[in-house]
Amino acid sequence: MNLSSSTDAGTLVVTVNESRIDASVAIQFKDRMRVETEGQEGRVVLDLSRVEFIDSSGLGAIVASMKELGTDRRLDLSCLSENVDKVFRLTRMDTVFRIHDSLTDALAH
Amino acid sequence: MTSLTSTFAIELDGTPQAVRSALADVRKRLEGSDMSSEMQGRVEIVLAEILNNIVEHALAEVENGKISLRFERSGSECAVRIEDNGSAMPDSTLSRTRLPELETEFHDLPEGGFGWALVKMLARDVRYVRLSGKNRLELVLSSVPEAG
Repeated sequence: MNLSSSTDAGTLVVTVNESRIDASVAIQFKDRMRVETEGQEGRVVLDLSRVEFIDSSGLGAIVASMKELGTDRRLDLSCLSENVDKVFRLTRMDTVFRIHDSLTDALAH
Repeated sequence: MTSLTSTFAIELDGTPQAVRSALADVRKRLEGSDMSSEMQGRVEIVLAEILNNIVEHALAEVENGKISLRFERSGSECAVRIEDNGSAMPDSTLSRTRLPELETEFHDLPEGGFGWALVKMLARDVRYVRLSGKNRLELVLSSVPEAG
């Protein structure tokens, strides 16, 4: 599970460099998110532009990561593909996360 | 470009990695067809949730877990049949159709329980039977999305 991160004006952008977040990598995703975000402060934007597929285990891993960040650090999502967006909408998780169309949008908020 | 009718069968082991490669196999077969990307996406989500559910629950205690998947497309409809040699699906799972509650405290937000609800939303005519030590699940995916 390849994640990378960079900081832009106090916002940590974590990019998922994988095409899938599924049951076979959900635990690694959570672990890698912890590594990328710990020891830092402020909002986190998860850039999903390269992710073409997510299943309910992947969705659960993103929710778990959000909960680990606690209520002081928001986890926003950006650049959801058609199929990833569908899973967030159908499960109504789009009402839990702030979802941005682009990274530019995400960083402007 | 394949014709409007296509049938294939895939056998896989009961592991998350095998599920991943089976889904890649299905995707490759559908990519070459005239099926819309929306429908291909729906097929992949439904198959992923069912196969993962089998691996995580039915085959959790089974030494030599095997799954067989049969996919038959006829025009705008796809009939799917999935069998496994695992333990029976509990009635409580089958009857569950609702999404987990999201109106909760932050730390109680659900991290699971979405899979079966997704299947019920995206597929129709979901039928489950237990026969001679096997589970058989059948469903239909239609390229006209179901209401809701």
